Amino acid sequence: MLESYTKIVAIAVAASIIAVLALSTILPSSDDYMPDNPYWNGQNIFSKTVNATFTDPKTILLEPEKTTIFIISPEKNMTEEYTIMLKNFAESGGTIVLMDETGKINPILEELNVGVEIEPHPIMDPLYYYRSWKLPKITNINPTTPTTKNVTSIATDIPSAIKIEDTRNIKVLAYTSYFSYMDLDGDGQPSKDDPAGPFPIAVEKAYGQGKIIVISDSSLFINSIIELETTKYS
Amino acid sequence: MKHKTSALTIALVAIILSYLIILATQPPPTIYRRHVDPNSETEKLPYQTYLTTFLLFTFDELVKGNFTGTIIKLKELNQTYVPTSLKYIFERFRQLMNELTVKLDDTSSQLDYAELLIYSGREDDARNPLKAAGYNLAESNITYSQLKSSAEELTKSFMLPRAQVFQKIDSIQNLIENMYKRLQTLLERIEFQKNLEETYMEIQVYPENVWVGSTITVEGKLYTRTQPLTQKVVTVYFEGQKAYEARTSSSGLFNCTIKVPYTYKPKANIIAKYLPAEDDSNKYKPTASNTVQISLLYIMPKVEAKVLGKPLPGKYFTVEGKIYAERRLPYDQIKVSWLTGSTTAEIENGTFKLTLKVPETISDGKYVLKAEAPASEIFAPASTTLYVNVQRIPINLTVEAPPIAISGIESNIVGKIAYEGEEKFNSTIKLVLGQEHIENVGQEFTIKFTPPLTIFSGYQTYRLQVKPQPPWYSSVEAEGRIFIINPITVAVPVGLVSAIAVKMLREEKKKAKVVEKGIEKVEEAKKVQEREKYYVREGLEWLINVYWQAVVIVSNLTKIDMKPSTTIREYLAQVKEAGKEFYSSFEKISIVAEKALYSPKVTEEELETAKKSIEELQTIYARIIH
Repeated sequence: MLESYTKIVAIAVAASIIAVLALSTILPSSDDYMPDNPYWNGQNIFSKTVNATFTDPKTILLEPEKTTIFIISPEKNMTEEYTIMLKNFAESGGTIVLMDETGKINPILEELNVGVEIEPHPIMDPLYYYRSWKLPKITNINPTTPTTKNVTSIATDIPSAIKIEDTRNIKVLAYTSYFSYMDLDGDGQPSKDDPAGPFPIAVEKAYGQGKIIVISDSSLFINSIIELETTKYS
Repeated sequence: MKHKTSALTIALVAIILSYLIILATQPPPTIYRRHVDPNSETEKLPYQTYLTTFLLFTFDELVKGNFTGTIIKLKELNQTYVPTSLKYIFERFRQLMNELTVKLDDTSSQLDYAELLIYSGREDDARNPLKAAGYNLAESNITYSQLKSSAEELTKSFMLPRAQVFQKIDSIQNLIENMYKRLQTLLERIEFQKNLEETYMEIQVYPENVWVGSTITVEGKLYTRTQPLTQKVVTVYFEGQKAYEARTSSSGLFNCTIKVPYTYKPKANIIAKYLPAEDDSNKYKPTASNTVQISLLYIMPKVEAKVLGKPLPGKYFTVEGKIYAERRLPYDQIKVSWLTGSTTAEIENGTFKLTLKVPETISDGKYVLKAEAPASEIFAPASTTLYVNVQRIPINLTVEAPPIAISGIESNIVGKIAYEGEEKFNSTIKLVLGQEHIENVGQEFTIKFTPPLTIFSGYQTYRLQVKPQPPWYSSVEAEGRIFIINPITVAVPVGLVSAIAVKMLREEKKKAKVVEKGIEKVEEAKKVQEREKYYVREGLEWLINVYWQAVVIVSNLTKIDMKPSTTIREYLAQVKEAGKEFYSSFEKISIVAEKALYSPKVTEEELETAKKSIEELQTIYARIIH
């Protein structure tokens, strides 16, 4: 009798260990922006398309002119070591794309001396949008820069505005429409005191041999936003 | 089979529970990201006020005759969000607006072209564009009517203010009418110009081959069939740019000297035009001269440059070059640009040489270096571009890692760095496995690491980076997998499974005990029966059976079991309260049974009473249970 129970326990334990290990490796992430997250808030389409590698900035050993670093919605401030690494990377011909709508990225922008900052209030557009005013469609795109010359529209997900403090070497890549507004009172409607567009949402600064691109929406490359341009709402 | 099913059930429960526990113990995201799932958003109509404003802007552009602007606005309008159910109405309106704009734009262009031809004295050539313009205007009228109907539907569907929209649409009618008027005017001008006198102009330019920065002379003559035109203003153009205004002499001749700009291209065109002004516009037709092409002369220096040595990060390299031309160069410096900066190098005997430092932090790759000589009068600018190939010296890394490691227990990774050359240096080694271990090591190293308790059990990828301290050596990275056994992550499911299994085991043991007790009870009852049988008087065994039948009935009805140790009297006393209805019958049977066991004599009457009582008891039992 006792032997059979020992067997049960042994089989169960073995099965559970295998299954837990398998689950922890097989189950895709559902965290925001994760490159292996196939759900609406993941970035697996983007990651596959651009062949992105999810990496710790400190461990980068790259050819700058062939590489773009995306820093999407950073959670913490950057150390001096990171900043120097990024500066060197851009100055040697690399491209850095910084994406955030919450303003959390502002200290990094300051460290890198980009001359812009994110204003964290939501931008809505009641005329150019996808399904909801919270999803502005950007059509004012700079056709003269190599970065955006082939881009006709950009889908966004509750973006913010970029405040340009120092216009030297700054090129605006994309503006929201004239009809967009900054929803200061949070009522979702264009109110009298809500500042009206256009607002810059993507800018580029030449940085040594490379460049720094700032986008005031960290969700630009999530699966559901990428699909907007190609599916039912376009 | 049953055991297997139980095992799987336990495992499944344990897996789910442990996974939920693992998920629940994950720290919540610390940052608030702002985004929504587009699929969960309610579909919204465009804001009417803004849509109206936009349409009014578009009409305004058209009415102003800014056709390009109108087309741009219509393209922008196409980007606005329109719910699928209203798409056809919206699209029809937009298409008609676009069609009307294109037709009116074409009409306007035809009218402009016709006007240019007419004012160049080519009235006959102007007739065709005017005809095309007339046809376009007729079509535009039809499109305009369709646009009005479409606008009715649009304003209704999108709940737009009809009066505002139609006020603007009506003004498009004025635009069409104005074009008709212009067409009429130009046709009249053709008739008028038939009576104007033709004019002619010819020019000559010399020299035909000229150095940039020097001068050329343009001579010409303006005349009619019958006479030279005197005191008329003629404009000379150099490569399309207005260069000089000359006035004709009494013989219709004019000449001017133009300085050739420092334009470094081989050919340039020169033309002169006459546009009659004031009263002359009612006498003479305008005209343009022949086009004269001249050759421009300039010196094109040649620049050559090359990199000497191997550019390595943190070290210097030399750029050497030469610049030469047909004549002595007017400058003695050349600009050299590389990376973010630029510098100048002295030119000595047509050669230059400079030393540049490669930044320590630069990545490997080819970097553009440009040597530029400036434009200087007859010397055209010259430059050369070359690529400076920065390549660190490669190193090889060999790593020996243990196949298995246990979280919380120290393990070792052994490695060796190999490279060309004799130089000795230290390297910074970083091992990333759940957490980072950084050490400064020589060419051969052993890294002690302890896998953290925060990583899962299973194969984990480790990364080992080696960064040599001299910047001219390449960093190298190795990756591999180690099977990590984390007691914590294993303990969670194992503990759960064990707990459930132990619980089940206990329950099973309990059940087994009950069964064993039952068996003991039966055996004891048998023993009692055997023991008591000894005392039963011969021929009265049936009476004892009757008693046991009665006990079974009474215990079923009262739910009070008779224990092996309980006597007949004790059991009778126990069931007295619970069995009022049948107590009397059971009492009689009990008394007779007791007598049969312990008394020397049982009467026939008592035996009869027992038989009747068991029948009564059975009847009561049957009634109760049915």
